[in-house]
Amino acid sequence: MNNIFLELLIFGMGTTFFVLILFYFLVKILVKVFAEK
Amino acid sequence: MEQLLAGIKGLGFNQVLMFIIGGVLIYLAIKKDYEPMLLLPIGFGAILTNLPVIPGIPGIASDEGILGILRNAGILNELFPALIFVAVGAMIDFTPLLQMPSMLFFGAAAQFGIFMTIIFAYLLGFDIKEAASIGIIGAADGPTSIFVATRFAKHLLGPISVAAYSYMSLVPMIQPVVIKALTTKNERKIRMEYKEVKVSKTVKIIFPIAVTIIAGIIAPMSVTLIGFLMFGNLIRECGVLDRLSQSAQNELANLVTLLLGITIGSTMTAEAFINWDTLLIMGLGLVAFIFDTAGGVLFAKLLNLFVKKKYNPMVGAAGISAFPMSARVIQKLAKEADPTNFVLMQAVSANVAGQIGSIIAGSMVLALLS
Repeated sequence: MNNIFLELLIFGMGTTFFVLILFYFLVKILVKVFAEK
Repeated sequence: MEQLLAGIKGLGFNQVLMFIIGGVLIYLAIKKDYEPMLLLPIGFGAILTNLPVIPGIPGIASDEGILGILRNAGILNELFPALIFVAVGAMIDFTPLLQMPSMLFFGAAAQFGIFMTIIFAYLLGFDIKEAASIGIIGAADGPTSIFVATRFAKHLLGPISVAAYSYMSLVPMIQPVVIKALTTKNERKIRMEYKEVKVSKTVKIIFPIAVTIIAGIIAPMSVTLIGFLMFGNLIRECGVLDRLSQSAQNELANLVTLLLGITIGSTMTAEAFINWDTLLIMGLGLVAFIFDTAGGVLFAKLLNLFVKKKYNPMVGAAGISAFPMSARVIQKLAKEADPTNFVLMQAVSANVAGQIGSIIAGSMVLALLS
């Protein structure tokens, strides 16, 4: 059962961070490519 | 005569206790202004549900009764939480987040409470799916809590919803205590630079579409919630659907909230609510909010070890999803430490990131335990 906890912490928190880091780069790219003129 | 007395004869102590609990929720909603849009309908729904049932006539909360029909049509198939997200999406302005995307990190860090609470709940004797449903109270986001509880622990829907909405309204009391325990006054005084970055309309339109696609590919379980949230936001930002945007923000939000509240109340039967588990869930809900806040604050402090421009650690705490209450709390605390400090925009940005983070974290829990 400890494996489930580890999975939840590592994959759960890890993937949440991973997805939001992807969004961070997405925003950076979008704001640069479609800059307000 | 027998029929006339059936109601009085059918009344038990536990039902009277549920009337009192319903009354307390209504009192908190009206007198204390604690999430009145949800707690008042939930309280009244709880009273309705526990009225005695005359044998042979379906009770209001039975499957044939009106609340039962609403429950099957709107909660158990996840329709109401999904519709609420269209309304929330139409209400959210992502501009502060698009101006300060680094705040997204706090939206992830402040979900720590979800995972810690799952562990605590499991250790207290709940099975892993019940524990997961309880942990999601830490999403600080009612519809996400309802969404996950509906999948994993329908029988705990009442106490989980009450805990989620109660603690969301108690954010101004919970967060300052945790933040002050984890930060020094000097840390709370840290000023953060705010640059007025212009965000084009194109970015605001592409963002919800791109987020839906990325989240849908990496965390497919999130599609219902993130997809409807972003659909609502696209309606808002596209500029050609003002009427629909207004309808989503007003009529849809009001109508679904009204039905959602009273229908959740219908799950609060005395048998399901008056037990030891409910007390544990209320306690664990508090644990979730404490660890969420701590996760955000400590992550900001960790980042400060590596960056030149320091983050005010309190902004990390705004990464929970209780929007916009948490951002307001952070600004108030910043002002308390230094009356000329202004971190509201950063806190709002982290708070909006928390909305996205909580959905992703909830979806990950669903994916890992399904």
